[in-house]
Amino acid sequence: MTVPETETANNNGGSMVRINNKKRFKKLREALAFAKYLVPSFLGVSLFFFGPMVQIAVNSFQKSPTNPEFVGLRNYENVLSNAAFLQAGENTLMFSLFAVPLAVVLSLILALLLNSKMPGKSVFRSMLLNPMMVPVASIVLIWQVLFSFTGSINTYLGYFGIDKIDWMKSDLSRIVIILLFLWKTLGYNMVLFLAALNNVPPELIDTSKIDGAGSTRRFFSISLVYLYPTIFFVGIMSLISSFKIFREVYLLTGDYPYSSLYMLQHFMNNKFRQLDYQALCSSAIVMALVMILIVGILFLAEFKLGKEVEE
Amino acid sequence: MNNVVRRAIALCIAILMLLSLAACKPKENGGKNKSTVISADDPYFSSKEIEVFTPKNINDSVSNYVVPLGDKVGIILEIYEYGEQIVREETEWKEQMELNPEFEPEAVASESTDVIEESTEPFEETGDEITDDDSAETTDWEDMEPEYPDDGYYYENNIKRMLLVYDLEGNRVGETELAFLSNQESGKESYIQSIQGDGQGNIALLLQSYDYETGRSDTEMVTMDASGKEVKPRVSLSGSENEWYSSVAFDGQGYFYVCSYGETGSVVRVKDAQGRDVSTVKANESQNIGGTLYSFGGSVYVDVYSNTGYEYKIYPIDPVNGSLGEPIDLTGLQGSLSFGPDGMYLNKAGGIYSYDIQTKEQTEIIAWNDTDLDMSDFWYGSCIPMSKDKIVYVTQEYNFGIMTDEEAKPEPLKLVILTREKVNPNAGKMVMVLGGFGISYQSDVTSEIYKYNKESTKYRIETVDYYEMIDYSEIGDDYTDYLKAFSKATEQLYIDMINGVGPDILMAGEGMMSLDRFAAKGLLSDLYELAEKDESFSKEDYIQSVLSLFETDGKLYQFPTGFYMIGLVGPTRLIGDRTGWTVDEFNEVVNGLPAGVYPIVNVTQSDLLTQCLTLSMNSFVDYSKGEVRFDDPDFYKLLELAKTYGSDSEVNPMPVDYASDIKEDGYGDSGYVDEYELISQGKLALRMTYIYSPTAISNERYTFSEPITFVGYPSSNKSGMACTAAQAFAINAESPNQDAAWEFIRHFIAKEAQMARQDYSGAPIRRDALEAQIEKLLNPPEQSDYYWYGDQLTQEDADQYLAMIDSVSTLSGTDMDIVSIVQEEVPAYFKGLKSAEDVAKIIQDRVMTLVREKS
Repeated sequence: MTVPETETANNNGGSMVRINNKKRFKKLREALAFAKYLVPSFLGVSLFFFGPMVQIAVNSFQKSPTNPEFVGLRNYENVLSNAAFLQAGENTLMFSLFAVPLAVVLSLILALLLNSKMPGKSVFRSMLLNPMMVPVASIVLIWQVLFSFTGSINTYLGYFGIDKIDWMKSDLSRIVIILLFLWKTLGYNMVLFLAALNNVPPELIDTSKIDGAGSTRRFFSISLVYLYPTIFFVGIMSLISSFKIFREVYLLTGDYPYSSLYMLQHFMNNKFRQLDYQALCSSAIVMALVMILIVGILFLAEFKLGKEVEE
Repeated sequence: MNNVVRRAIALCIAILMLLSLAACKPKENGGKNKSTVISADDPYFSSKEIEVFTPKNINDSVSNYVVPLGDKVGIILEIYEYGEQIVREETEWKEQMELNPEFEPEAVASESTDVIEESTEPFEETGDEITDDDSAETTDWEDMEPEYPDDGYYYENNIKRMLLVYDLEGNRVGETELAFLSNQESGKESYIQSIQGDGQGNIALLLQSYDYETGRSDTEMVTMDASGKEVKPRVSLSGSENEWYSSVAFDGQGYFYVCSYGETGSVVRVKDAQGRDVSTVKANESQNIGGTLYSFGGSVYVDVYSNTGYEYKIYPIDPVNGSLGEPIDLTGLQGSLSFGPDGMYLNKAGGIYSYDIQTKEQTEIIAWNDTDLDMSDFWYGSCIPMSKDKIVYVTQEYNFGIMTDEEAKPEPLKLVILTREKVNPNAGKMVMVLGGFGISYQSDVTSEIYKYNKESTKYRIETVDYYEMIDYSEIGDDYTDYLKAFSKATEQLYIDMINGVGPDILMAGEGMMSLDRFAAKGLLSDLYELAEKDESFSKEDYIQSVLSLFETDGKLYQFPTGFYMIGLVGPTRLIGDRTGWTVDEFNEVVNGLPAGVYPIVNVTQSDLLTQCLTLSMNSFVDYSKGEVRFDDPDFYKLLELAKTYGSDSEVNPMPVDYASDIKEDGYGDSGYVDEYELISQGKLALRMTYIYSPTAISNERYTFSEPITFVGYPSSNKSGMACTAAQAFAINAESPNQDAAWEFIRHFIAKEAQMARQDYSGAPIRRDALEAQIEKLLNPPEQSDYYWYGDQLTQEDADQYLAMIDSVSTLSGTDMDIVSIVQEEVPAYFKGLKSAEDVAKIIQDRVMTLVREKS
């Protein structure tokens, strides 16, 4: 008995559909299984991050917390025309612009030094990691002892006949804060770079040595290429840390520091105290957008560089 | 790991994350928000007031001790009746002084206040004697000798003691005169030191007798029943002659405990029922026994203070071993403590709470919002929760009697019995919340609430006192701790307002809380707008110069119901006739002062600068234009002025330039300089002054005893005296009861309430009330204590006062953020570490940021 072609085709088609449905169902079941594990995190992130973020965005378009009248971009106009906000933005940007590249480059140099065959490198490594263990309050105390008007640095300068410098209440305060930031972050960045340097394939280095490449050539053509993802990661982490420098600056100098130290978070913190939630929300959204833009650019750069490495 | 375990872990994590939602619990701000309607089930305590005793004479006084006696309450009264005034001949009392040195000062010292009031020029008469070198070596009694007038007199006073017993329905079920407690016939006088129930239905008293002939004091414990009959032999506690007993308590083991203070400090003596010593309890070296004993749960506890820092603990006493057990830390607990057989109670501004010493949990027994009592009568009361449904309060209204009653009457001692009702009689009324700081302590406010609640059929005012939000456990010895804790409580009010659960009506004043911040954020209603609907309101009825200072762009967000003036005062012959001056003019005057005259004393450099800045902030900061001018020579001059004439020490506020001179002259040995002494000798040019009422003008004139000038602090715009609100009200813009809230505030600015404003609560904002007060002060009733201090107001004083308030153009109180920046930076200049220019440059930079941010 022969089976009609159409029937066979239909039968075959039916089993194909069944197989596809089974696969889909299996995939769906797997996805659901994964989703179940993600639920707690998703709930937490939604509740404590996305929810407030959406609320902040909504508030930034409202007249006041007690009057939810839609005011369009008026709050953003107010914030962007506020001289203190612009000054805070400029200070924060300038700080990040100098502090982040310095943090990446210096920590990379330190990692390369400690990766070489220098004596006592484990001791140095531990020493450089020390600032990570010190609480912020202690860091601030140390900096106050060092850089206050009657502090140790000025005392030592006095021995050389140099007049006292008001480190924290002059334009030099930016340098002090950059030093504080570097002191705090170099150790952590260095550890990340040390780990990345260990991942550079030794056979590539050995081959290049046989080919007669010098150490500079080896670093730029091989090590650096393998370090790109880490440089990108360290850059992002340092950028985020640079925005958090407010904590130390606030503890050192209070609500209204010398103008060169007045950061975006000062603006937002003070607006919170003044109950100006609209200014607070709109400035937070502006800052978040700038952060997203910068991180986006860095991602793009990393993506392009990553492609080059693969090629 | 199998799937079940994985799922369980995931579930646990999810639950843990959800637990953090507990942090989102709304803050308790009294539990009642806008538009709350009272239901019949809401708690309510009815009150029954019983007049216990009314003194016959205004000068008589009565003190009371309340003892719970099972289902009854005992009240022991000590009535001090003023007898006739006996005037002694000089020779007579001097003779008696020689015979019996202790007796005579006792009689006259108790009347020393009257002596000062009687004397017209006390400082001129006594000044030289006080600073006499010999007087420093005399005893306390002898120190008081120069105060006695030559025609010495005393009163033949009488002390009467009574025991009154009431049941919990308020019926008097017993009344006994405790004549046996007085030993006047034997030449002794007795004083009750402490009263406690002995746990067997009896009342135990510590009675101290003083024998004038021998100078010896003895203490006995007297036990009597509810009928006032002595039921046990008296127990003599007399040990050392110099030992004083302060309190007594009984435990469940038949011992009694007395706290005494003697040569070895404070100790607790434990005795058996016959008065035999069982043990003596002492604190360790770093602690002091406070002197109060508490009895509950069958044990006796004693309060102990630390010598090293502020802490307050009570320790259970082990009677047999004479030792202290594990302490219960009560440091920072808000409210006054009382102990009953059931445990401990806290009497707080908002009500009475039971306190569990183990869990430290407070449970509300009664909230004053749930009663209809005029809380202004309850300042000095003794409160005893007899049960959760029955509370007994014994209180006497304090009669200020100055501006309100021309003939002050003695106020009765009242017993108030509060009983929990099953049905709230205010059901259906809408709650309007009045929020602020210290509402419970302002008698005019609590009295007005009482009246309003009685009259209104639609609304009921309830209060939320944000003082209760202050966490006293965070407050140490440092005053800045208090400011921080206060600031936290203020933040809570701000957050409540922002979240839309703030009070309908806000009360501020005395600089404790600024309403400007709320107004700037549009959280307050324009009171002029509400007043437009009120035909009885006329803006012209109020002092325009003062009211206009509180306006913002023609709107009024807070109504000051009372105000006062701040500035400097000095003899016109020294500082000239002026209302304001620049720093240069001030320096010119000071440089021209005669030799030996001090410009100003008792003000620190920082305070002097802050005061000057407060009155001239507009010269340096212009928010509307976003301009700051601290790098201006005028500010350098202010800095220099503060450095020169203010003290460089908080402890010893003497100006640096003449600190040594003033010490040598003997005016400031104890830290503060005796301003009055300097003034009496014409050696002080200026002092800070706060003009709360017209009487302050006559008081200052009386103090200086010569023509005086009131002048503002030095400023570039020569501003005169500045004004500030002593009390102000505002309405929450989001309150649904705008008109009702305005109606409530209207009570405070009505003539009747304005007329009744006391001296200490600021001058009335209503012109006719102020003028009527002035008229009354110009023609006081014939009453000896109408003026507490000073001289009668004259027409010149009144004119001077009216001219001062009519010309006021400066509102005191400014941006505290700016003041704190200035105060942070100026010490470097005062200590000579930085120049005035350097400090001013930093202040300019920091304040510029602040102004830009707020503009």
